[in-house]
Amino acid sequence: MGYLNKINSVNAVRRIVAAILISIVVNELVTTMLLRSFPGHSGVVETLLDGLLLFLSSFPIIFIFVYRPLKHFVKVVEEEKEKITLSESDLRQSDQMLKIVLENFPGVVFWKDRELKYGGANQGFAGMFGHSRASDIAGKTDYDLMSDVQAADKFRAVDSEVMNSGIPKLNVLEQVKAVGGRVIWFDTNKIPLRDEEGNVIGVLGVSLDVTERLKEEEKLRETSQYLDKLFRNANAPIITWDPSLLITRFNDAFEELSGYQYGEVIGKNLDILFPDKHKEVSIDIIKKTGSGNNLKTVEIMIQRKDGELRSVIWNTANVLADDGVTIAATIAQGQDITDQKDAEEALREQNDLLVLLLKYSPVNIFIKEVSTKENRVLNVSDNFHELTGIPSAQMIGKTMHELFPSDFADMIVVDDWTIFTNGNVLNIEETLNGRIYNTIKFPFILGDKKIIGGFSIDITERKKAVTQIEETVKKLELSKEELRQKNTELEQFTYTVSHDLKSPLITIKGYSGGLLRDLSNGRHDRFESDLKRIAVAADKMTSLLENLLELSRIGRIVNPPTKFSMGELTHDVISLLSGPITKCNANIVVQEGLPDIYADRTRMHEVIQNLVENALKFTGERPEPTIEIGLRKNGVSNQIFFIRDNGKGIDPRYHETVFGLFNKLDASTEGTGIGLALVRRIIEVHGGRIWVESEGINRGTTFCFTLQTNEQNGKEQ
Amino acid sequence: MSGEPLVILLVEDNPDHAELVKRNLEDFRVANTIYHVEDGEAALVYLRECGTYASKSKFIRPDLILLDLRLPRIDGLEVLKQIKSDAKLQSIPVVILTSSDAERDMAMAYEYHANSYITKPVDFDNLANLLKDLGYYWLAWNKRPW
Repeated sequence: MGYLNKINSVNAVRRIVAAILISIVVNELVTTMLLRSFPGHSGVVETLLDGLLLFLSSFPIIFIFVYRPLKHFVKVVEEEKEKITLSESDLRQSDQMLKIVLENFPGVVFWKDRELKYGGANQGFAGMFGHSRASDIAGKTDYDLMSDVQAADKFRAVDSEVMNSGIPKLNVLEQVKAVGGRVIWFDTNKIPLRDEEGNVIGVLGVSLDVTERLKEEEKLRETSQYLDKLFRNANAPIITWDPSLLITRFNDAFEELSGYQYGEVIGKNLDILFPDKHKEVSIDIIKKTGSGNNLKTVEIMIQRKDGELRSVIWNTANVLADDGVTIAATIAQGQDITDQKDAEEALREQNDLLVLLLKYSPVNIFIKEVSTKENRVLNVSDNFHELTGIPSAQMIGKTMHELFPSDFADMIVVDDWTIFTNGNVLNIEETLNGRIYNTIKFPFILGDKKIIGGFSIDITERKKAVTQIEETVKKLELSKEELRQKNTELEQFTYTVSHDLKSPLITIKGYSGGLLRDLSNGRHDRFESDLKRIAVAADKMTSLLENLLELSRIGRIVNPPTKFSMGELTHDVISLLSGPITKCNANIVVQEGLPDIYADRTRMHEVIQNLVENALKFTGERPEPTIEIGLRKNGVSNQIFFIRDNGKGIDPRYHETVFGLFNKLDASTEGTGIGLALVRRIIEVHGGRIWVESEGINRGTTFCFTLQTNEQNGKEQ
Repeated sequence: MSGEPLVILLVEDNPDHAELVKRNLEDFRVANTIYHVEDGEAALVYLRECGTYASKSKFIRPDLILLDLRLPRIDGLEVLKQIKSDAKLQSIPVVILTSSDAERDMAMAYEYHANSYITKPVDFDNLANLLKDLGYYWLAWNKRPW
């Protein structure tokens, strides 16, 4: 631009100077001078004037160099003008003035006659050929001036041509070898000189040294080519248009973008690039640049030659004309963002999907940004409000501690950071507000964010169902086991019953048969004892049957459990048994503060009574029979009651068999052997356990039993 | 009928039954001597020549053992098992005399090498005949090396 401006200002100067030269120099001085040089050929003056004018106007660049000297010269001329009169007497002065002009003229001026002899030249011309004075040139030919004959012939040929044809030859580029071998390029105008009749009498040559100018022009061309290459090869699509929106330039990248060849669009309206639908709108946008605005990343779609639509981001800049106001051209750079937009579109679709997922997911979904100390919600599914009571949209950006109870939030933060650092997927069960969740968490990185994503499923109901099933299965297993046990028991029972009930029958039948035989034999001595045996056996049978009925009742008929004091119960039993106790002279010790229990009181009474009676039975022979009843505490829930005697003890071999139905350790003792079987049955029905501890014969016996004493277990019975 | 004195060990917890057995055997003069114990433990003690019976001046190895199955302390099957696994005792014939006619008891008894298994008949005459036959069979007709 600077360069162009310079040219423009030079052009301006050119006109001024030309005007001055015409009005002053040419009209007055030159005319005078030329008239003198060509006496009697007044028409020559006009011709010279035209030649100079023509000449001057064709060398714009040179004028910058001649402007100053000319200006000075004009000043001198103006001063001289005052002195000049039309009087011929001043001719001498005028001659001098011409000389000055010629001497100061930056170019070369010469003139030849028809014989191609130099009529004269200026100092510049003379100096070029090694002559110090211009006057030395007059009368010489080109052969005299230059050693290169061929060059001289060339000059002469042109000169002759001009003279012969009478037509000026303008802007002839000539090469002259100056003294010292220096090559000078001249732009020469050759003008035929005529006399009043119009006959050519000579030729005027005015040349300007354009060696430098050519160099400049060469440089300019190179620069222009370089810029052009840059423009064409730039990666970015670049286009320029003029104020009437005609495309003036179009680079390779734009060819690729648009599918149009350079030649197809140059000179065409810009709207060739836009799809029909958008032509008007797009051109309207482009036109805004005409009012001085530049487009900045404005998206305007273009339609390729093959019809494909591409999204393009445009940036424009206006190129201003010399006046700095008018827009000379607009240059625009386009950026094809179609792929980007497609990717954006795909991304948006995915995002839409994610939004739908989050909205309708039956599983609680969460995405959090995590750090060592606190996590923030980035996104959650809509159903997450069920967990926090806060609408999902309001949860975004919130911390764990803002959403959850403190201890739960602490746990989450620690868990999340652990997952993030070890990179593992975590699958855990969490409990929040009484609900159980199965949560799966996984770490990932999103840009520079550390993210934990995850899913939570409320499995409370499922767990409940599973627990119920497990409990049912357990109960079934238990009842199966119970059934098996009952079966075994029943088998044992049947066996025992068949044996033990048969036993008294055998006695009764045996002795009654014996009595009959004794009777027939007349033997009477055994009558009484045998009848007694029969009676006892019948009694035994009765009590066995009663015991059996009793045993079968336990387990079938259970009174509802009630809460009562074990201490009171024990004292009731002792007062009931006061008779036998006194008879044995036994010392009964009941531990203070026996607890309340929850059981079938009637049955528990039987248990204590049986155990105390049992103890009395086996302590009777001791000198100081003592029976202790108490509680051996073994933890809060495990209470062991015991009844200890200092009687004859039980061999460890029989610790289990004593509880068998109708099992008796000593055949001679009273009873059917059902007592302990009954006791065990009752204890077991109460969910307890009974066992014997005895260090051996004569070391005493301790019966221990446990009970499920809490209310709940009692109720389940 | 052999002139040798015959010894029977009766293991029976029910004294009435024991009396019935003794009477019948005596009536038919089958046995010279009947020793009666009331439980399994006592039976084993007797047989191993120790305990209360060892102190008796006249310990006599039984020619036949009448063993009830349902006994206090150590039951009949256990007693049988111990007799039959004792080299000194296993040659003594053991007759199970019980009120149980359970198949299980029978099978177990033979498994433990009982020599005979008899259920106590409820009817008196049957009992008397059975015991008579039993006596004859084991103590008179059955030949033995001692």
